[in-house]
Amino acid sequence: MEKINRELIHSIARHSNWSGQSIAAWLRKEKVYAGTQDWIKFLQLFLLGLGGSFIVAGVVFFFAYNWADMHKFVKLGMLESLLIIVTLVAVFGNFSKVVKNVLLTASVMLSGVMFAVFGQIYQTGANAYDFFLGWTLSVAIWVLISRFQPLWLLFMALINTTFILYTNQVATNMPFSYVVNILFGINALVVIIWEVLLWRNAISDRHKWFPRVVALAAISALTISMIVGMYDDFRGDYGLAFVLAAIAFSAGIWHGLRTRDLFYLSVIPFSVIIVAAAGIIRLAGPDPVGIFLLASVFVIGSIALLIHNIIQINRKWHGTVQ
Amino acid sequence: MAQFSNDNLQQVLQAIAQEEGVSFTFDAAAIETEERLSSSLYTNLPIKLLTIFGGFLATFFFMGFLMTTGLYNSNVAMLVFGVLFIVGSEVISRLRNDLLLDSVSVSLNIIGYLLFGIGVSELSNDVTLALTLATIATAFILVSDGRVLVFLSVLVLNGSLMSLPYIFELPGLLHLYVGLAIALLAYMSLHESRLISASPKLNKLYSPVRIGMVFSLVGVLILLSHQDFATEQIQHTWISTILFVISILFVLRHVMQDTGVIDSRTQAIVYVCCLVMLAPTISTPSIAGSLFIVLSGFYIGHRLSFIIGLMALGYFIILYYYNLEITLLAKSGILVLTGCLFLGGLYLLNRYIRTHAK
Repeated sequence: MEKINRELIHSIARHSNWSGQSIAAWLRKEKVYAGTQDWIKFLQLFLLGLGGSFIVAGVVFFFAYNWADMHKFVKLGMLESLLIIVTLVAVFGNFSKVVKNVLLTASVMLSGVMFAVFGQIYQTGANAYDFFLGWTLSVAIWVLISRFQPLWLLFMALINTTFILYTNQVATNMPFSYVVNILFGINALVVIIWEVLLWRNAISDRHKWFPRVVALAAISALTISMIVGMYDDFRGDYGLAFVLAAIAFSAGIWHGLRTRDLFYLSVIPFSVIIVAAAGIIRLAGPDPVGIFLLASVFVIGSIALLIHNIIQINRKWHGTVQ
Repeated sequence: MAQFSNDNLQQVLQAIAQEEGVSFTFDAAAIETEERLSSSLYTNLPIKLLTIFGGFLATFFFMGFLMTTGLYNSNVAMLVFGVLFIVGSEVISRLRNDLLLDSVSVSLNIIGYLLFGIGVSELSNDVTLALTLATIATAFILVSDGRVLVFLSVLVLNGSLMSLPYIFELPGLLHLYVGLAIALLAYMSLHESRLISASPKLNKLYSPVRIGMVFSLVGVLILLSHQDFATEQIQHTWISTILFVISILFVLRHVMQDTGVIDSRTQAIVYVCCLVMLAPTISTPSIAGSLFIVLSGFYIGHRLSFIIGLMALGYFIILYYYNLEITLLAKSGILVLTGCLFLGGLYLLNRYIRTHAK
């Protein structure tokens, strides 16, 4: 018998005289409810996560305190020793993989603190882009070998922050559409790498939220770029965003169909719907009475069509007959 | 037994029938239709999200249309259209048991509440607004068939109830609301089986009302921890904290019963640890509150409420330390110390598991 879920239990309870006691037993038997092992795992992760992040936050606050009397060598030396100790424990300690990964994440955060303290001592400012660039580069190898999705996500946040700060502080006259197009490129590239690695069985597909978040970032950037392009009469990137979208979105849909992944099949069309609706409003010009209604009807119609298609595709994949 | 095209379902029903005996009766056709509609686990989340986001997007444009037509010039018109849209959303959701119409229904419902709210607030005072919205939402919860619609109505009802203490300038009454909301969520989380077997209506209400209560509780926690949002200051926030702590202990008692921790000394240690951990947050109910959402969500294996609770917990913990009025050095000391305590707890937990595994 396949595993049954909460929805089915609710459905059966709705249309029968199934007793509450028996339902309670089934909810536990079918592991809809958390069992002893789940609670143990939850508590372990909860305590480890809270403990680790509290200690790192404590270290950050310790160095954020303005130590006027402490010599800069002592400050940096203390941080570096801490960093070395944590990393050595992460590499050589006799712990589970999760603990080691949390320790490595702590090392990555400590590297950031080190750059911030450096900035504090030499008055370079804590939000200078080179500070983030240095941080990103110095932790890159750890992140790559860790195979720990939270750390990868942190790394992506660092890369994106570095680039955004760079455009704010150095490349100040880069057109906005270029900025979002490049952000799309960076994030899309990572998603592609992830999918290729998955395809070659180099990583497991058990947790997919890292590529999901990055893909969402990429698609959001491209959607913004297309809408801004339309309202800007394509003066920013001469319609490059639309070319990128044509390539990336077709590839995404193709990949979604091939790997039976509903994520791409729902997010990409949704982005297209948003852009098309914005396009309809754009066409209206200065007097938009009625065009809003058209856009609204368009959104409802296209979403309905999209959902209809997704259900059809899903039925085909999972073999349930209508 | 009736024949099913779905073997799995047939096996499940047979197994239940064996346990329940001859008195077990069920509507095979209805169960199978619903099973087919939900089709597979994979459809649920993307389609629900698309429905909701699509609904919001359409609402946004439709509001733009209504504004360009000059509807906002007449309060009575807004009120009338509001009622029409709310009723219309329910009619549409009942037309066919189909997800396709849901996006229309959801967007009409949101616009309906908005227009009605604007209309009433212009024509009358805040008390009338809160009470009429609460009445409509209650009626909707009792009558409606659509899950998302019930969820939205739960949010409207809770929002109206939350606003009453502020309108009457008795902010202390908010604790009463908190108490009621906690009691409801705790009861729903601990007695799911009893509720869903009580009646088909309660069964249908269970999921949307529970998740609606989770969102509402997060909302009230935000109100309690960002006092600058409202003009009235809420005093004695410790009352809410104590209510939340009691509910956490209550959930923990059930957890320990379920996981076979019967030794009263261990139970006492768990309670004391929990109390010690939460004692410093006595004046900020948001931490205990989000922990309650996390635990009750994890207890029944409800992923969405668990994740919402975790996100709220992370936010409120950061806010707590951000607002703490002590020097950075003292903060640093407290954080490192608390972190060590958590890791110590982990060590003790692992030791306990090892000794009991033998």
